[in-house]
Amino acid sequence: MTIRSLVWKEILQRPAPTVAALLAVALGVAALVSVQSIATSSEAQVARQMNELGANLLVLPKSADLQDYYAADLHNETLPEEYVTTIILAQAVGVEEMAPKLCLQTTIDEKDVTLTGILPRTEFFEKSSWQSVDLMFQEMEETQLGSKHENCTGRTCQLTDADMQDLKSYAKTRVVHDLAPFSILVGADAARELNVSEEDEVEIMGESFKVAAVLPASGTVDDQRVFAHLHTVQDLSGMGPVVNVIEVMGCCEDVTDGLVAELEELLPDARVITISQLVEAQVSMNRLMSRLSYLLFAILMLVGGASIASVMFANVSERRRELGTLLALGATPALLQRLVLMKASLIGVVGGAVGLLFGAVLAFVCGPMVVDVPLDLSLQAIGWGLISALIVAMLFSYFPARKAGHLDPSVCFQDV
Amino acid sequence: MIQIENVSKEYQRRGRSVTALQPATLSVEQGEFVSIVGPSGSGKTTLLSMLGGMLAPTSGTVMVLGENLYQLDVSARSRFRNEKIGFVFQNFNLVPWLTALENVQLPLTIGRAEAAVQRNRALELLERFGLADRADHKPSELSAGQQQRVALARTLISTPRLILADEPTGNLDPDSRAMVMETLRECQKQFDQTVILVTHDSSIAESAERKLRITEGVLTEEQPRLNVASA
Ligand SMILES: Nc1ncnc2c1ncn2[C@@H]1O[C@H](COP(=O)(O)OP(=O)(O)O)[C@@H](O)[C@H]1O
Ligand SMILES: [Mg+2]
Repeated sequence: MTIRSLVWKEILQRPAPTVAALLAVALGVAALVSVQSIATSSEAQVARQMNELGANLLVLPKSADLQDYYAADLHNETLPEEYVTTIILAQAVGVEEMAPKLCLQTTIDEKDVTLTGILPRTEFFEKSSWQSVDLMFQEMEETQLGSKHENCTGRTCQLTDADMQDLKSYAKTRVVHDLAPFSILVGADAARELNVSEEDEVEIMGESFKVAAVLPASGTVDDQRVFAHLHTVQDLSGMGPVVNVIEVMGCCEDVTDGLVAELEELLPDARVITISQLVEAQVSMNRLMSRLSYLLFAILMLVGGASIASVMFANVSERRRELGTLLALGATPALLQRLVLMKASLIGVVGGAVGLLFGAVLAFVCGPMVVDVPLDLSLQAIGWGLISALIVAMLFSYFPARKAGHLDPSVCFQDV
Repeated sequence: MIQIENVSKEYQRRGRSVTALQPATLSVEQGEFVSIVGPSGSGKTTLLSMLGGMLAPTSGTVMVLGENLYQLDVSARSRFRNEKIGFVFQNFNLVPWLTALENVQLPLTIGRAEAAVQRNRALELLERFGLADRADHKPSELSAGQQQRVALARTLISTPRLILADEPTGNLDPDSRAMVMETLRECQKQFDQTVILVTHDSSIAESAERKLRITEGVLTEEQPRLNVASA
């Protein structure tokens, strides 16, 4: 036998108290790992949105409430589609693209889908009722929608027409060049759900549509959507020439502030929101969540530590005779201390690991309710969790271990 | 083998001191078989504990095998006990969650002997005590006599030079009692181990070649052969 197997056998003969102490620690680690993972994944989502969409603005009805950029069109308030033209005519500095959208909840093959109407780029010009400014539009189509500012560092500026002509690029650019009235683009998840592929025909509200493309996964709610021509969706919905939102893509963040002011003046009935305004709430919520999780962790670890200490004290007390016998057989007091601390470290390590596992499962189950991005475990939380579990277990076993080390060996001579 | 000089012990309990052993001087040679008798509470266990390095005396020196036990540091004293001294207890003190085989191995486990050595030595001893078929039994599955045999095997596995037995037959039936005494005799005769035996049983005490008596903490020799003094 080894000293380690002694510790192990002692635990196995009566595992319940050890398991209880272990679970107390596991709970703390689970709370930390799950909440931190969700918070950091959410932070990553915010950072990605800021990075990808930092220059973008949303033009919304005043009364629409809003939590997520990608779901900005999921409300029942509308704006007139004319606003698109108004923005074009204003030739605001830095406007590169616009994406008016209208959402319609419907079913395909009895499955619920969000049908989103989008306006292809070419239509900004063709369908415009302002025939007199045709020439100007043509010129604008060759260059940009709005006027360019100096030293522009924008990314969307680098988009080529060819990029936009590829329907699949919608997932990335959020702009299509052309889309036939009865063609649809299907998000990756929706395509799987509906079991459709390119060239398939599907029926929506009595009309037959052709799947023009299945979009690659983007990791956003767009993956669950079906896109069709804005005017087709307007006709199907019977709501007339309205939209839920107009996404205005700026060329780079330098123009955002000026653009907000300009659009607010131009469209007094609308609300203009920047990405940073949009994610502000999310950011503060992440911070709160993260802080609360550390607080929760600290409390749970204290509770776990106290439970370890009480289990260990009781354990040393009830094993007095046995430990005294080990002393008589030649064990040093230091060895008895080590027996206690080895048990504690086992509780710490296994408790940490169980907590990690539990926390990961919790994060993957509850995470999707909070964030829309693929969930990543927070390595920092895992590190903190595992190390603190071990330290707490050892620290709170210090006094029980000391007690074992100072045991009076004469107990083994007492008759029961 | 053993020289104690003016060894006394006072216990401090709630501010009052109890003298468990008056200053005693005694020497024992290697291979001697010594019995200690005396009424309950007279200080027998106290003396045995001090001889075994388990209890520091209030005064005096305890020399065992040339080592001044209480001048060694705690871990050196533990190691000394592990290698040189074996205890036999009235209550066996087997570890309840270990099997007979594992209990016997304990002194070697503490001394960090190789696993195979531990196992083979333990099996050998269990066989010698007729317990080979009980190797995997827990103490609770053994009779009192069998438990004391396991405890004896545990004591002998490290071939201690000194065996200290505190009423080892106190809880046993006559057959087991005879077996324990026979074993201790064998240790003395065959292996030249020194045996110091505390007992209540006068017939057992009489069979020893040296008989000590303690009364109210005063140690005396019944049939003085070597010099025993009490002050
Ligand atoms: N740990 C202790 N604390 C206080 N008094 C003790 C302790 N151990 C023994 N004593 C006292 O010392 C005296 C001798 O005890 P002990 O050596 O156990 O006697 P015996 O083994 O002969 O029955 C008794 O009066 C007992 O009450
Ligand atoms: Mg006694």
